[in-house]
Amino acid sequence: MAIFGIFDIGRSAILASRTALDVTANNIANVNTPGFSRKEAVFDIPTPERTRGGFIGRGVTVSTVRRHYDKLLQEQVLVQEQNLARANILGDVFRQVEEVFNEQQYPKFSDSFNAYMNAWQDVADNPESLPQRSVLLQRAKGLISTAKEMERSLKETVKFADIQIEDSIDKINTITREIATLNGMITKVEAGSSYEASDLRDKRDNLMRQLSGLIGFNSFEDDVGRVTIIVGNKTLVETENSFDLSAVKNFDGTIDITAGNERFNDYITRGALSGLLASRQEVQEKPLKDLRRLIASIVKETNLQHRQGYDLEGTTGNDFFSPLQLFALDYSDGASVTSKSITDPAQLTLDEYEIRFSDPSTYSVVDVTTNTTVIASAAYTSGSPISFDGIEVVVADDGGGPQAGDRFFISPIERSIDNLGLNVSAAEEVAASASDSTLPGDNRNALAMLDVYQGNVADLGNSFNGYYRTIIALTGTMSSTAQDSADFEQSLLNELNQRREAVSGVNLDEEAANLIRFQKAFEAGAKLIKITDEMLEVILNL
Amino acid sequence: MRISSFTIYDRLTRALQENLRRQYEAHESLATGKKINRPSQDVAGASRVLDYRVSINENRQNIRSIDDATSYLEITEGILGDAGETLTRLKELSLTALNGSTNKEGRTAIAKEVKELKNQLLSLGNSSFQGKYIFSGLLTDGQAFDPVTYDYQGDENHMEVKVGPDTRVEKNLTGNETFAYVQPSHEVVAIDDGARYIHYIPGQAIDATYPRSRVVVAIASTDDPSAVEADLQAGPPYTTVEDTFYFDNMIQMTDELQQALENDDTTRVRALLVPIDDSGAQLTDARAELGARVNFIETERGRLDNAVLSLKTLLSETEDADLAEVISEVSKNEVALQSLRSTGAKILNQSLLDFLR
Repeated sequence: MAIFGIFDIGRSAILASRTALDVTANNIANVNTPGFSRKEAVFDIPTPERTRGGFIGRGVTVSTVRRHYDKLLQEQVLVQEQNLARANILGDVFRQVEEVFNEQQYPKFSDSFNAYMNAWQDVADNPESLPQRSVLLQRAKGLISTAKEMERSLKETVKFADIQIEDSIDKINTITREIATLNGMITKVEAGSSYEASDLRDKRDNLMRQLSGLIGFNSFEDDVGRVTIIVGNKTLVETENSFDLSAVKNFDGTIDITAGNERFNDYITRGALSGLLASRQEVQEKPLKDLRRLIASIVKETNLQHRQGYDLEGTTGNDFFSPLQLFALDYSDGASVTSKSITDPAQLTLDEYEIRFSDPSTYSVVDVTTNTTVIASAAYTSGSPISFDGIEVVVADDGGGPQAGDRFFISPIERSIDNLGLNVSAAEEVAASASDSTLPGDNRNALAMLDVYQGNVADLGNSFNGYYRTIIALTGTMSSTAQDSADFEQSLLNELNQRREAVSGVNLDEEAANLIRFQKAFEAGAKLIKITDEMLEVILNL
Repeated sequence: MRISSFTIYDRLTRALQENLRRQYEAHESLATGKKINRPSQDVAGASRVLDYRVSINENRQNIRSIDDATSYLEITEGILGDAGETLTRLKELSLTALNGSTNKEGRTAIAKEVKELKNQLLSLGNSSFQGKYIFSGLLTDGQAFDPVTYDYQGDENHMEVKVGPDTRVEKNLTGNETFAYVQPSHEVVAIDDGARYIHYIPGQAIDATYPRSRVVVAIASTDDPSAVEADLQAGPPYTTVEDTFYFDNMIQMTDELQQALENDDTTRVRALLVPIDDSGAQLTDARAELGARVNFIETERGRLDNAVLSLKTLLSETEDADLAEVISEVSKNEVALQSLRSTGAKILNQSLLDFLR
């Protein structure tokens, strides 16, 4: 071996050390970069040279820059982030809902309702005096505004969820487009070489982690390094293409997610988006509906009792609150509900109904609250009234007529808070008396009203205050369960992240040690060249 | 396990977060004085709290109704007391009028005082409280007794007051229950001259078409009630009945007395002695009834007060924070937080890089 061989060895040592220093420097620089995986320069021995004394190595090369990475762990982290994102959203939303009903901090419904009930008892104590009656009207107005305020807050959480759903869809679309682009770049960089496009992969991993926060998905990598991302039965990213999700407004004004014109809500099971969808549905179906039902029941029972009484002028049959109004929603293109009315408030159950068409000429009416059939099967005539449980609805053709599968939703409670108002306008109109011949000292109807308020109500299976308590218990349980599960998911994720960090994380002490190590190696390599140079000089001076 | 720099920071920040969260919750308890600040902290407790509050509110409102009814009942009782004194004075005056030493002029003078007493009874009967006429039944916007005919013009209904979950108390007595004169059965009293009798006849029994009259007083020459009633039913001219008059209530009775004195009709004055006595007894009965009601609702009020007190204790036990406990929790947390901060600062400050010179 020529003396220049030592030069080469020295040079290879310098080069390898420099590469290793580069890698270390990059690790140090990225110590706080999310999703960054620690890299390591892997040294290798080039094929040794045969000499008379045997084989002698020819220095060192950096065969590859290894990325410390555990694919399985990475996938577990992704799924866990999806779970956590959902749990966090549920926790946040239910916490807000709980605040709406939180009587512990600020007086809410219970306080207003009790003040209103007390005002009735004051009227019962002094039925002939106007001040007590005026106070009653004020308290009733207070109750109305409290109910409206609570409904508004609940509706706001629903609206907020809708806005966030739209935002999330935009973010998802941006991320999937970027992932598709990165797919292309990674394939190009890695094509025909044995090197990994590590940093591009880290970048893509990071995007996938962001995507996990938004939506639950499954992913796999093909043999040229492109990931495919699948949600439900839809592909969001495939090779270098991405497919956008879109938001559409529903029949009831809420936002639905679609992919290629197909309703997509039910495929989303993890991630923030699923949390938003689930919380929106829960809020609408439980606390909001319960509150509306409670108010509807108060309106119904109050009016029924009030109608039996006589006011100071001797008139009877008047409602105290504005009467309940029906709400109808058409799930049909060929027919619509043209009129709807409550014919007998006493028969009203406060359940919600659907008129369902099994074919264009046959319908049935189903109580969707109890899931019982009210009218099993009847022949449809456009424009003729359909009556059940104190309700009369007219469905008429406004196009091709109803088709099989068309539905018409009828609810006496949907707008109970929206339409809530006082029907009596003056203090004299409060019907405290049970007869027009015993005015003005008669308080029997006011006492009967108190019995209604403090007794059990058949529609609710509870007293008003008791029913409200069940709503509070419900929202409290919803909130505590959601928070518990968010805490649980968070601790799981922390655990996984620690394990991921153990594999991929950068430790500055370790890198500092590496710095010295490779610096010394670099210095030694340089010394080698210097010594070779001196050796050459000796030879040249011979 | 390999520890990365991030792991250390992450651990530390999470530990700090956890401690700060606990500290925040403890501070919230201190600020509000409650351990249940939202239902999710204790669902069952929050539900009970609401239940207690509803019950406390109902009890308090019932106490309010009781206080209102008590003052009403006490006012009524006071009025009946005054009426009783008026009747006593009426009795004295009647006896004075019948005294042999009182002459016609004396009786005319007494008539004047009787007139004053009549007006006093009328104004007592038409007393009002908080703008309502006490003795008018439910027709509280009108005077109980007509100021000219002294007829009762209220009704027989009672105003009920809610004083407990299922307890109601009537708070008024009607004019007929207090000032009406009720003759339970036919009663005959002989007059001193031995040939005449005073018949007190429950009014409705003798003439169904004239039901207003509670009592008819007839002065007759027989002590046979059926003969007198038959005579009255047959109408004038009477065979046994010498004189007859009737009245519904004490005011009308006093009016009759006044007229008898003015007309110097001592027989009628004598005939009125019995109803005056009975009226006094009747008022005493009414006052006893009122007293019983006041007693009852005051017992009820005491019960409600106790209930409110024990409910408040329960409420406080359920929702109020144990301050001593919370404060010791806060200081415990502070120690943990401080040691975390100081060790954190030490760990985070040091790195191998510090030692490379």
